[in-house]
Amino acid sequence: MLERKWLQNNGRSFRFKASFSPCLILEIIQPDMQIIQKELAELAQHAPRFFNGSSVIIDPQKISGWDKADYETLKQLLLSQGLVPIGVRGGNAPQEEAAQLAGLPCLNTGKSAPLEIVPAVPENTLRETTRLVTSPVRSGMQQHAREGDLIVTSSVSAGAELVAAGHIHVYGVLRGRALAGANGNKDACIFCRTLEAELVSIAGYYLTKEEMASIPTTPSSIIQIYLQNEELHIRTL
Amino acid sequence: MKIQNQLNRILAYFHRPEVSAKSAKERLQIIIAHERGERDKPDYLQALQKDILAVIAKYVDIRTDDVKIELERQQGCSVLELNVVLPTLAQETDK
Amino acid sequence: MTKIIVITSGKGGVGKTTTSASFAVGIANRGHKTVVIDFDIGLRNLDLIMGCERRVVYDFVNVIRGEANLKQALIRDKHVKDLCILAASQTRDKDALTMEGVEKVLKELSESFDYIICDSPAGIERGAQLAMYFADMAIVVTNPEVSSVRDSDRILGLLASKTRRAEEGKEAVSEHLLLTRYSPDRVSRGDMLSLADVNDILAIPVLGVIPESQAVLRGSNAGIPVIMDAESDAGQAYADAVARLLGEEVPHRFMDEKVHWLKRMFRFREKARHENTKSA
Repeated sequence: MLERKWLQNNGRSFRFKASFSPCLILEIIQPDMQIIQKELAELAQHAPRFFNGSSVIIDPQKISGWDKADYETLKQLLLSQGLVPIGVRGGNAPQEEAAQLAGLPCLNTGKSAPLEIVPAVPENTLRETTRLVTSPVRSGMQQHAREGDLIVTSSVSAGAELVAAGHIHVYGVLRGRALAGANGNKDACIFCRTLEAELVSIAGYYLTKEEMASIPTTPSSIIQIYLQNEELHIRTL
Repeated sequence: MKIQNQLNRILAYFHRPEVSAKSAKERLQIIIAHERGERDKPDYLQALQKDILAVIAKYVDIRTDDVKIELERQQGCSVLELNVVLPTLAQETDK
Repeated sequence: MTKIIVITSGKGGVGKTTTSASFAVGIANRGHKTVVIDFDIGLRNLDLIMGCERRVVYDFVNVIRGEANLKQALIRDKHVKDLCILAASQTRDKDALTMEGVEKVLKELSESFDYIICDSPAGIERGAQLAMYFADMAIVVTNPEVSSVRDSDRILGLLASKTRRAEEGKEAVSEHLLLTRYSPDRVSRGDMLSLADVNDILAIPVLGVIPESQAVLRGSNAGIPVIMDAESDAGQAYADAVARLLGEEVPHRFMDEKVHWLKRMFRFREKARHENTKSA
């Protein structure tokens, strides 16, 4: 508990924030650099929006025998395709050493799952921005509005999660977690009717149920949670 | 009438739990003994039964139920008991 | 059209098998050809509660593997005609129940039965997933207790997403709440969640409320589903629930505090004394 409070308000010259920016893991399966180059180029053609300044962590567990020059070559290859290699993970000691010499530090990251490459969506398809959810969101389920707002007319159980790039509006009872501004939008807000949520977050800044309990609110019909000066505020409308 | 009912209920309260727990114990003893025996059975018994049935069926017209295999463990050795019910001669000559 | 009903809960020990057994008997007694299947893998319970444990020769996995046909594996219930039981396997192999195997068995059963009741094991692993996958209707058994309510909510989420009906965009699996081990006395004292409290969170139609009853243990001791004990409160409550399932409108009973006649006498005395002190 104390640790979290410290993390939220640490230092006056800097602050660590939870981030939602995606980071890819590039698992190298075979060491022939020419084949890697060819296949990367093919992938870029097949799914151009995939390489969009995403950060990449290289995982060389499955291969061996690369030296500093190889890592250097791969780094340049990735940069030329619009990917940003930020480090290496999961390798053994000689691999880590070689990577570090090439300017790729060793990182400590959690687990990841295989990524499915979906072919590029043609330009003129209509993209859904705001999502409307009318059935109850049960424990263990997640509702995600990738590009816009999320509106939920039913209740959200404890253990359920709402994620939206924009605002989140809940007209039922919100007992689960609500994460608005998931892509970094600091102007996103959360609208709900009671303060029973397990956790609320806007652009990475969050408040837990305990912290919300200490905030006094007058009983009203609508509660708005918004971000101001990098702190979450609650007001009743 | 009401007193009679109350009296019956009091008597039943003392009588019933003993009866149902007793029958539960008996049922458990039987089924657990059977299941422990099943657990110790070697895996091949079912396949063996199928193969024996196939061989006998080549010569005589029998069904799955007519072949039974049991494994009995006695002191020092195990006995494999095989029971085959063959159709009667009359049924055979009818064919 | 055969109706497939899953009796599920998430939490263990809330009364799924008790409910499956009683519903199977209740529905069969109304003249519908019914079969009840134990979807547990490795542990077998339904046969004990139904009292047919000594007649199990072949089980669900034997049928799926082709080691026996349905006719050999189905056990006819001794008390109720039109009712059959398919016991669970005691195999150690958790992969023994396959989606294709289960689908094939259910299809074959649909040819001769009106109702197929799937007794789900606890948890959300394979047995539970397969028990709910092909269901048309789900009875979510819940105790008025925090972990049970949360687990039931989780199960409702899975019913809405991980079933054939959900995956094919068909009409959703109909969800019904069966609140079991309910004690009106404890509820009125404020020690137990009420039906309203539970349904505030789960928000699904209530099929029935079964009171906590000693008759349930007596029933499982004897191998007789509690619905057959027509004198017991639990037995009657199950009978009411079956009637509701079959479309009848039945008011909920056994939800009021049982006030013993002695207690009632004391309450009267207390009230009288209170009046006296007031007027004094």
